[in-house]
Amino acid sequence: MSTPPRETIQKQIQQDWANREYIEVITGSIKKITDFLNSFDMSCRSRLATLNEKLTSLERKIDYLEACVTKGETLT
Amino acid sequence: MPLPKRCVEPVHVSRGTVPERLAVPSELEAVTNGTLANTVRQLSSLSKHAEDMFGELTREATSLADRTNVLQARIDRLAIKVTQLDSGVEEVSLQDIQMRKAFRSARSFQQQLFSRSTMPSAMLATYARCDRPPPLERLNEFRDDGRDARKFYTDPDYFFELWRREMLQDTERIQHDRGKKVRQPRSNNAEGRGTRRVRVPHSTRDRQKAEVVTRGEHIMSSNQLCRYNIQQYRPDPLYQTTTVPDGGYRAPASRPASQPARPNSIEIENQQNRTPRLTGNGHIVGEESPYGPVEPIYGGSIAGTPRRARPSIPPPAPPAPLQPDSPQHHTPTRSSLPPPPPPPEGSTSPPAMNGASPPHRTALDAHLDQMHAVIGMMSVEALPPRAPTPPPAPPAPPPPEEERPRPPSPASLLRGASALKPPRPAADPAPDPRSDLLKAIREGIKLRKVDKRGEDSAGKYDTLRGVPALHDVASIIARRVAVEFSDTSSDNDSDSDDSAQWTDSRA
Repeated sequence: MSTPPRETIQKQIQQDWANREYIEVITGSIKKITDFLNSFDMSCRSRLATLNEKLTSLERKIDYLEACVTKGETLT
Repeated sequence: MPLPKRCVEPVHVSRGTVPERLAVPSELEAVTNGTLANTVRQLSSLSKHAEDMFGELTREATSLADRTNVLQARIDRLAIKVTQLDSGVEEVSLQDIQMRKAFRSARSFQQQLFSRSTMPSAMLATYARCDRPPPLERLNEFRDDGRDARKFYTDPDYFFELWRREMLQDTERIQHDRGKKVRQPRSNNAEGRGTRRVRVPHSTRDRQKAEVVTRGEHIMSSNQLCRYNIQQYRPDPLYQTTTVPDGGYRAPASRPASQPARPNSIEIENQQNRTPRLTGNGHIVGEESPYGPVEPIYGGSIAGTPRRARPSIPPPAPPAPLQPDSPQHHTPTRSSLPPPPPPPEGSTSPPAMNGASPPHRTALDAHLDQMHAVIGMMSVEALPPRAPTPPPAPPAPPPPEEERPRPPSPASLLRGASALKPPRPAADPAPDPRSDLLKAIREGIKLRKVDKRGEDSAGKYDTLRGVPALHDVASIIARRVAVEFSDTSSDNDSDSDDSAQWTDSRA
């Protein structure tokens, strides 16, 4: 089996390194996307939770105020 | 172990990228192509997860937006309503304010937050990939105790059951302890003055009803029940020491083993209060029977004014001379008070009776002492329309035989003499406040019913959610809170009521 010429092997290896670098960039980007998505998710959830809390307390206050203002039914 | 919510797959992008069976001209290119393909798979997986994530966020944000819109509408309505409010124009009667229903929030507890239904879809997919537990439920038919065989392998409700049992037992224990605690300080306070000891009636209406049903028997067989009392109530020495000087017949207390202590002692107080009064006035013992029908009328009020026997021991502060005035002072204010708030446990109606009863009773005493027996009978005939209203309504218990021939004591004579001072008007203002009082008592009972209904509805709500009552966190905690709250409130109520009663009787 004849060995390929030295230049060919060199070329293939260089090409392989270039491909690996390319793949590395892609996977790095995927990681970045994942990190962003995770942080985005966390941030959104915490903000939504805060909002939810505020909304709940507001709803309770409005409940109370409505009960104060409304002429509720009496016992008799 | 942290459980990842979303996994981007495949994890190993370069593994297994070289086909084994297929001869490839260039392995390096094959690895590169395979790795690129796996990277694209990763990207697709990532986009799927991202879509899922954004979907969740969008759903949440949408629900928040909906709530915000609803809230905005409510606030607008409220703003309009508030601007329309004008205290100068609108008339609010005090009666309406008092009779207004208590505010009850419609909010419900959020619970079952980490159940299968609230699990995010990505985790659900992960969960679905898990191995199922072995089908141990097939062995159920071989079990004798009826327990689920799979629960020995895995039981998701195990810790909740543990917590539930502990909480329920804790609640029961607190109730039990509080009951004891409430009773003991009373008996301590009761030393020296018999009034406080017997006034503690924390009897529910049911107890009183049952007592009404069975009352005749114990009163009749007082001697027999005296024996019961000694056997049953030995651990309460204060009670016995205080009762013995009164002639020993109160210790009988006519208590059956299963009956609550106070209502029966109240009955005995009835007998005691009546006999001195009659003998002190010189109307002698034979008038027991004409006054018999009066008892159901004032049974409720008498129940609240326990006193020691006048003949044997003069009470520390016998309010005899001032009592005839008291109805005018106290009963109107009492009757104008709102109906008692509905604490959960049966401490409501007794305080209401306690607080307002002494003035009525003293008025009646004055009235009856002053009048002749025949006139007394006439007045009794005039009164009956109001008779059936008081809930406890103890029928006239025939006093024990040995009680009757007791000679009139100085205290009772003094009382009779003092009762002579106020003429008839003392009886006249009484009826209206009393009817109001009875009305208030009725209201109080109504209130308690309302409260029960609320609890029932809460239970229904729980069952509607598919969780039986007291099998979910919210109802258990609600019950616990209710128990603690009711204990403190009943304590406060009874204390304040005791003091009020005390001042009333002194005034």
